[in-house]
Amino acid sequence: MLGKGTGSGSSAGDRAVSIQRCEHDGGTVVLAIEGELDLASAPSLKWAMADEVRAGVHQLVLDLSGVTFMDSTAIGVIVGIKRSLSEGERLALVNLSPDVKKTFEITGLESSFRIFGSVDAALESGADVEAPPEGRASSG
Amino acid sequence: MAARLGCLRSLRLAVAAGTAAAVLAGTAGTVAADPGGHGHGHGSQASGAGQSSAPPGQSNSNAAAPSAAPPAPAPQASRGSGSGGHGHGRSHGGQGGGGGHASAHGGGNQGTSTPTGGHAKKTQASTMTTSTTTAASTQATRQSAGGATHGAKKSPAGQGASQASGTQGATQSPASGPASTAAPAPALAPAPAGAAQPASAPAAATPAPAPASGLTSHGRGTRHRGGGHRLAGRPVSGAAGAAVGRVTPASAGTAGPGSSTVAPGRSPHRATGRRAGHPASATATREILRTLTKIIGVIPLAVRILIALLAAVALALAASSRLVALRARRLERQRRSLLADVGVLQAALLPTIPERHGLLETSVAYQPADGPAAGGDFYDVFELGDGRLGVIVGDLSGHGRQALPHTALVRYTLRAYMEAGLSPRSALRSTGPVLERQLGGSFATVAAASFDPDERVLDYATAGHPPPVILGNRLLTPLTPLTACASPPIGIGVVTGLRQTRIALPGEAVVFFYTDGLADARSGGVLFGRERLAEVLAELGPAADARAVLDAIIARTDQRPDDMAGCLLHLPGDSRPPVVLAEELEIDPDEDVAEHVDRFLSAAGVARSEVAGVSQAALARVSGAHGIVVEARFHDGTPAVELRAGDSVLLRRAVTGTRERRRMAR
Repeated sequence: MLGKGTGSGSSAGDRAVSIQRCEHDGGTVVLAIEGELDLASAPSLKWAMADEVRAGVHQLVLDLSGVTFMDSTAIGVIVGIKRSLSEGERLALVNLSPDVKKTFEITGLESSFRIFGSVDAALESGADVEAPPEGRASSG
Repeated sequence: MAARLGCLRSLRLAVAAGTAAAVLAGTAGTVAADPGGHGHGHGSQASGAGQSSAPPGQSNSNAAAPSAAPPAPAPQASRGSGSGGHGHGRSHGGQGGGGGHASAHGGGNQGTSTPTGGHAKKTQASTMTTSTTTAASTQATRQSAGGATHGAKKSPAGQGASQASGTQGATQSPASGPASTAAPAPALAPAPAGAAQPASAPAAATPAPAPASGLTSHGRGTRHRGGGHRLAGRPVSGAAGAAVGRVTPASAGTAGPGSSTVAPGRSPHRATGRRAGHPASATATREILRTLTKIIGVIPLAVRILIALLAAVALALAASSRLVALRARRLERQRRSLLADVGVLQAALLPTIPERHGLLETSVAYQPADGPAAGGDFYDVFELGDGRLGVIVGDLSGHGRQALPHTALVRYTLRAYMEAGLSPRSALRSTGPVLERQLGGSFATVAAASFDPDERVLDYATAGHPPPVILGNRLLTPLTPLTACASPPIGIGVVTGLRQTRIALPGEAVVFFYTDGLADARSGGVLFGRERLAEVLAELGPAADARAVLDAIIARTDQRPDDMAGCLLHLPGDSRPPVVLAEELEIDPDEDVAEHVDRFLSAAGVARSEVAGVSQAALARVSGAHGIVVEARFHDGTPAVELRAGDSVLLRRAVTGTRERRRMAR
């Protein structure tokens, strides 16, 4: 459903959130999310991500550059998806805005996710399955 | 009874009359009978359908009856023309073929009758009166008019009188007895009763056609047959004459129960009011039944079906209404029971707390979400055995009913560890793995704290939860919490309970724990946020309680999609501000230790130039060991960093800081 076509957008919830899907080589799918991720819109994200996982994505990258706000529900969705990944499947978060980064910091999830500064960095890390995540040291 | 019968009749009459009229005269005659015993008949001439209405006490016939008064003379009543003169009061003649209806009513006691002729006139009241009087005296009136009906009423006096006014020969009508009702007479031809008497005799004459209704007078059981009908008047008890009016088919004339009626055809004299006095209730009942039966017999099939349908509908509605009422009662009972259960559950989940602990004043507040998110927040404030106070505020991901058991589980587990003497951080650290399997897919964010009233020191630790807002009485901006390396929520499969903060509260202070429902409330789409929450706290001042804080937020926001829970601690004192005494981090050997320690110490305010040295030392000492704690201490004059394993200090190094936190600590 959501994000099924490359470049297609969809929205749900009171405050529209749009999710654009872009497929890369090597089984990597980038979901570019725009808007606010909260109680109302988190389900859209959940289904979009679950569809990718069901389809057997190798690496799922969430581009959060367009996300201005993320509440605990949305974080719960991302945590849930991360936990549902099986061996060999990975999740990466890229382009976190300062507010979203703060949210991850307060919730102590910074070190639980692979967080990158850009989509390219995530794609590069995805090429080397064993490579340690990059970009984590950028906080301070 | 009389009244009821009256009603019944009225109904029937109305129906029957309408029908009859239609049928017969082609006009519609309606008769309305007043349940109270008055019948009204209107006769309309023109159409032939007459209805007559008689006010109580009098009857008028509008119909054309000429003045009825006219007595005697009434010639023949023909239907058409109805001469006024029938014996009764009301008949109207329908002109022409139209049926006239007559109705009778009884006025108070008097019966009035109006004659109606086919004329246009009405009878006057006066006439009636007269009649009545007469009647009372003795006469009964009868109406004969063809179609006349009479209402009979009884006189209150107990006279059964019917009265009729036959007196004048005119018609008059039926008298009415007080209580009873008169029935309108249908219009039809007047009565044929041939007997009309004196007065009307003539009137009666006409007859034939219509069946007139017959009435009876009391006392006598007369029957009459008006055009074929008969009436039986029975005497009724004084009170009631059973009068039955009969109706012609065409009309449904009814007689008021109890009342006497007039018999057409009869002489007025005979019918006496007095007679009415006879008792004959059994007979009366029979009469009534018989009359009813007859009435029913005359009702056209279509009408009967209609009535049956209406009755069925009425029954169905009544049954349905009854069912609904029963159901409503049952639901109400269930609701009460559920509310009681909910009260018990809420008490279990949202406990009552001590309002004061030493100098510390505590308050809590909870506000369910506007929407479907209710149920995930929890809090607890409890005294620990060593004199400290424990505080727990948390939020369970996942909301609603399925969240309730988990909120209780998290709260009690944490509380148990804290009551066993663990620090807030250690309690979270121990709770994580214990609850990991039990929370299913959900997770909990929690802030746990302990307050030592003697030292005026607060220790708090968070797991994926926002730290408390801490304000002093001179502090316009709250203490900035250190969130680097914060611990994740309980239940996501990651080690938690790694961080703790120690704050000294030497002077007056407000510490506010909250769930993210507060910061995530919105006003016009804009997040309320932690900063505005701090502003609200500063604005409300130290006297405010948690409820006031939530109310202020509610007043300033229009969307509150999540539960809101708040716990406010107020410690009285002087103006010395809160101070961070220490920040501690347990090193997770599975993490990138150097990076982690670097980040933590930098955020804690240790000068960058000193951070590298400390983290290198930590790395060397730790090397995979669990339970190593790095603590940045800002008290005792000299900021320092300690590396500990359990109680033993592995390393202690004095540091200098460059950030606000360290300055504040001085």
